[in-house]
Amino acid sequence: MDTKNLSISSENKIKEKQVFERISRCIDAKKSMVFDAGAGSGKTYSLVQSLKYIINHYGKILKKHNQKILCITYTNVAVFEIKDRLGNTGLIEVSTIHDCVWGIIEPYQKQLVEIHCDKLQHEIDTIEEALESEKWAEKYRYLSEDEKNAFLTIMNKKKEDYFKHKNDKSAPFKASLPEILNTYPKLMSNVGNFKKTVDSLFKIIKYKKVIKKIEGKESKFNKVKYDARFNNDKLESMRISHDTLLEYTEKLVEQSDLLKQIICDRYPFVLVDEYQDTDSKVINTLSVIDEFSKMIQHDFFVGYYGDVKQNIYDTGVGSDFYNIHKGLERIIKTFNRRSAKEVIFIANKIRNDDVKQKSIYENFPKGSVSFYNMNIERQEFIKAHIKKWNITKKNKLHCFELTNELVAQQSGFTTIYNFFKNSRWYKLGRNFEFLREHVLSLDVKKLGIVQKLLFRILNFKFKINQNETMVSDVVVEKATKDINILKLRELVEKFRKIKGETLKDYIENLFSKYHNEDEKYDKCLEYIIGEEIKSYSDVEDFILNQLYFFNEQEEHSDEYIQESKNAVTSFLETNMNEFNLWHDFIIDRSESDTIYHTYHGTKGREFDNVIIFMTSKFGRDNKYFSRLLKVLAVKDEVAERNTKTEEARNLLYVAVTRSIINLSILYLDDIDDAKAQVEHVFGEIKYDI
Amino acid sequence: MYLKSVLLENFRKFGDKNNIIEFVSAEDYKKDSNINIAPKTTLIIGKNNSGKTTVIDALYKLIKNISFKAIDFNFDYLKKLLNLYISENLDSEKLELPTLKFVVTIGIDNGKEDILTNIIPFMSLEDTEKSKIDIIVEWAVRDRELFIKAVKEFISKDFKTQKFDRFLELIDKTDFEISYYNSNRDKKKNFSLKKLIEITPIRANNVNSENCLSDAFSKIVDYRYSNVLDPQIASELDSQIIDINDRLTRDISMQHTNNINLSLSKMILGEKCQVLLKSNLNFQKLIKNVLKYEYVEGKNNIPEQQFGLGYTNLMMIIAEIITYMEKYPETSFNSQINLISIEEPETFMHPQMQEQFIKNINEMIASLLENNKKHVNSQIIITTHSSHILNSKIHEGNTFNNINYITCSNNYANSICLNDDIMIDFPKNNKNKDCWKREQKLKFLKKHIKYKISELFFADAVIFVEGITEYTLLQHYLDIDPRLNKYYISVILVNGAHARVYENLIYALSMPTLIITDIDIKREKIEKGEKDKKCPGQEPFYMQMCSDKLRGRKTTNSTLSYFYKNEYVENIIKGDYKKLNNLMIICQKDPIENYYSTSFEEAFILTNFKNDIVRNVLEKVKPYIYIEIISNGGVRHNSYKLQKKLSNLKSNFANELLYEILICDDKSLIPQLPKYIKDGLQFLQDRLGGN
Repeated sequence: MDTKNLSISSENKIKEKQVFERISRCIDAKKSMVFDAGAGSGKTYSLVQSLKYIINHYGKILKKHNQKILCITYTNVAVFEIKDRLGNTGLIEVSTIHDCVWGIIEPYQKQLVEIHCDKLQHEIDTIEEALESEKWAEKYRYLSEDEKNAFLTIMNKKKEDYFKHKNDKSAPFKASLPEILNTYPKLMSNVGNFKKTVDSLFKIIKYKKVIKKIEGKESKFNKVKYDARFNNDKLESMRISHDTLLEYTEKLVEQSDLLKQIICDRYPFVLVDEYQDTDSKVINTLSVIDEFSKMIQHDFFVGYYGDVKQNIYDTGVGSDFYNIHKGLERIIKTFNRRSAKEVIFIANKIRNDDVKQKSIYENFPKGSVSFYNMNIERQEFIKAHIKKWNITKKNKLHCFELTNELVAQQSGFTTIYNFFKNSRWYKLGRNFEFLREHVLSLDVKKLGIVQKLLFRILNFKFKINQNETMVSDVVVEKATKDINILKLRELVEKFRKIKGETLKDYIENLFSKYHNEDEKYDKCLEYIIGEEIKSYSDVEDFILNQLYFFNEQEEHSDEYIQESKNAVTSFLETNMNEFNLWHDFIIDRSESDTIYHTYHGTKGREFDNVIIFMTSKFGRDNKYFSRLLKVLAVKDEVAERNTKTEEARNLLYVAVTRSIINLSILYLDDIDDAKAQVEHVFGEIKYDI
Repeated sequence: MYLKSVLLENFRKFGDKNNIIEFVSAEDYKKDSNINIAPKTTLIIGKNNSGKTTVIDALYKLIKNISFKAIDFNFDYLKKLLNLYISENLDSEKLELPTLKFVVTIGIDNGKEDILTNIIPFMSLEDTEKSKIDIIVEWAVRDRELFIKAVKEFISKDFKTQKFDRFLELIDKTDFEISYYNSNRDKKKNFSLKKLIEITPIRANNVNSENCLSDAFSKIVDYRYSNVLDPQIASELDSQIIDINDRLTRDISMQHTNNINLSLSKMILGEKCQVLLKSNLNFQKLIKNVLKYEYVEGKNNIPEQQFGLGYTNLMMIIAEIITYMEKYPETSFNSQINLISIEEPETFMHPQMQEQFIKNINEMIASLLENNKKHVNSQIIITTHSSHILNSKIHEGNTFNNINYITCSNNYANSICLNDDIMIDFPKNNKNKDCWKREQKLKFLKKHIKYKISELFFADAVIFVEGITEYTLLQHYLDIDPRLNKYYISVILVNGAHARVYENLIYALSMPTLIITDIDIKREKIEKGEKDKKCPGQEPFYMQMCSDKLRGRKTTNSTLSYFYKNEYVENIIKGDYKKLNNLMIICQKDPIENYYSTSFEEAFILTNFKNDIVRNVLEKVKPYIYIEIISNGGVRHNSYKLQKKLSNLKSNFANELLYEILICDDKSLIPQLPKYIKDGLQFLQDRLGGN
């Protein structure tokens, strides 16, 4: 929407200024604070203003002492936005939490290894405790100490057989371990419990070995590594992932007063964007440093910017925030700069706290909010809205779907989504929760490993055909050594000529020119695809290893191997168009007038026209939204804390507050006894369009 | 790979328009059988203080990574910013901060010789086809907020008249940094122009010590010994130096050291304190002190100090180029751009030497390359205010391409890149005949420009005249005109229709220009006093042209019919003179004493028919005709006949007139210029005065 002609009354201008004055007073007094700003209130603007204020008043001193302002954001998109708004500056470090934290703690390897050792011991203790108490280990507990030792000895010998048949059906699995079946028949009565027990025992052995190696100061075991590409720890290889990094940081900071002082002296000002989505360990770490700084009387200021009601990731601290970092000054901004007053009105009602927004503008255009409850084809519903709201390619319609499947389907890449969903890795445990980020994230860094590979290939194909692409984006630096213009043109032309009906064709064609006495071509290809992949079949193997054969110790049946291979091959044989649509979705350049999003994927964004499709069921919870609707207008914030209802309320709040002017919600299940509650918030429910 | 152009924004005299300097591509000199550097030399010409050196300074600072200072900013630009810096603007995210911007455009040759490694970060896929890459360089404030804060403090104080000077101080106190961007505005770290471009400046006035030439040449000799010649030779020479040192030291020790030590030991306790005297000659010292440079002139050798400054200067330039050539790597691949800038080489040189300058340089480079396997592809940039060097470039290169003409208007430097395409338009259709015509015109322009015309590049205003009389007289009238004599006005004599060949050049140089031409009303043969066989029985006569005789008559002047797009005199004389931008075309469009004069002479005679000087000169040059006329209607009514009769003696007439005018002490007696000339001069004066 064009906001040029909007005007703000002088009264509101003064009020907004007063809000900022409260922030600046906190900054001056080094009184850590939390700035609670509902959706659309211009939170990022206030954050940038705060940063500017700090530079203005403390820039010279910071520069003199070589100190920096640290600004922690939740996404890389936010990093760019803030940097862009700030203009040139050498005084502020803007980065995501993981990028900055590792930089700070990496030098403290001695302490990190100690913490790592403790972590291993803790894992061992946890497993041992489980073996002592959990029901699945009941049979194992009945064994005497000697029996236990003998059992472990046999299992160690039979390790290979065990993993080879682990995924077999129960009967052949039992048959593969005759010694156990004969000696400990009871243990194997429940195959699932048996496997759990054996895995736990193996894990204990593995971790104990590592502890020994660390204590023996073996090389490779004197250093903890953090690799941003992986989502899981590999404690036995001294490799940690995101969560554990934050855990170690928290411990390290708690242990070491010196580190606390180093951090607060290096970054006397820390500003956290979207604090509600930040891990509680980070909040705790900052809280500890804040407290310490007061003790040693060094200046230290933490400013949290966000809104607890917009916490939609369960990794975020959410409403626990106030219990962790205590004694913060709370500043609330109740102006809204984004939406029509109709939207603000219902958003206020969905929030169940004391924040009540109102538009800062005097003349914001009229908006519309409608809640529909009917059984209608989505396309029909959309069609009606396209007409009603004059939707064009310039005035797009944005539809929010609850499930990833629907977004994938509507955006035209069902096959791709389903392949990942049905692959073994995502079916394991709670891994399905990663599907949204790994397949649908607009932040390329957050895509899954396989998805990243596919994205690199597709993005290369897209970019090589765009004239405005910079050469360095498609030709790797190594390949540019001693290159001349003729060779460069030839190289670009060579890549441009490569086509493919399917992704498989395309990759095969890429490799058909590989190792063909064109070193520069080879280097480029290696850069796109990754050096360890040397052929199309390597691509298949890579995907297989990531999604199907990821557990190195597992042996697989021929049948399973064949099935997996077929799945991967047929996935890669999917038509290129579908891959192109997925690529367009990721880089957010869809040509269509209707764009689909997941609720979660819209965080931080805003659209003129929004349709929200809602069902009772979300994920595996059949009553996710119906439960909320029943109490939608009930205001009991404290009672709702840390419940599923709170989670659903936050998600709905985030979804509705994305709209600037027009909002329609279509609830596709029976509204039942929630009618009164819903109408209290949204007004009369509509049953046809 | 070569420097194609550079854009300077807000740097010193340059603003945000007309600020591009184009350079000629550097092709391998050895490619052609005849080495000719002239078409490969970029010339930057302009008057003093127009901004020529600024271009080289900018390149030098950019390439050598030298910090810019407040005085490097365009002052008008800074004043404009300072006016914007009022409290209500300072919090805007769009507030403009002082920034110098340069766009360095690199051209790529379509061959295998250029290695692109250094330039790839700036190249888009499109650029690979266009062979042209922009590197955007910005010198900008490092910390935006800190600067704004400083400005806030700054504007709260009242500096009275010193505000601007204090603002400059503020800028000098501010931290700036240089950033490189590609055309996508992506910042490129770890790049510096140094990696890509090398510049060897040869400064004006480099004759700065008596032995500067010896120094220059000893450097070359040293370099050649250590890098070019067979190492065996240097090594042998070195062994000889060792021998000499050894002998000398022994000699000194025998003859002197012992004696000195003996004396020393008498003053202080012996044995404990001794001196050791050694010979310490090495190669560098040898070359430096041994090399004596003399000019060979005829049979005499002239010591360096006594040689003319002009030659010394030329030799210094040559010495620098030799040093440069010698250091040039012996490879046919280039990953770097090499610039040699020669600043105002005309210093101390007499005009003929300047005319020969490029030819001399050319021959020298040719002879250097002849004995060498090197492929040199340096771009030579010459800044000059010498019309002779300009001539030299145009003639040796046989083209107008790559001449950057810099003028200064309203305090801003204005760069105009000349080339053959600007000089003469391409024919609209591609007919052979029209193309040939264009070639002929270009040829004319190139040849013609040699005759003094290159001066016009350095003039304040230009007057093109047709005849010798106005050429001779006008210069004097300009000289005594108090309004015009402080300007440098070039009067150029071109024949008849040729003035219009200069049309494009006139527009390009955009200085006030006047074309003085004749109306040339067509008369029949018998009207010109000639017998015509076609009209038997009619008596020839000299027709005075009155307005009632004009109907249907055409002009024979093709310049006029070209500019007016009309041949009929009646159409030309109605209305004002023709004005096109900076150009005005004047002719005798108004009657003088009721007659339309056909030439300057006639107009001059008519305007001054009572003037004694004019009458005396007429009598002196054409005594018989004059006597005849006096008794036959007088000068006024015979002006046409007089001009016809004078046609073979115009030069004589002009010189006699000039003589009389020069010796005349009473200014009131000096003849007046015809009105159309006065009108033209008024136009020049208005334009020069800034209107």
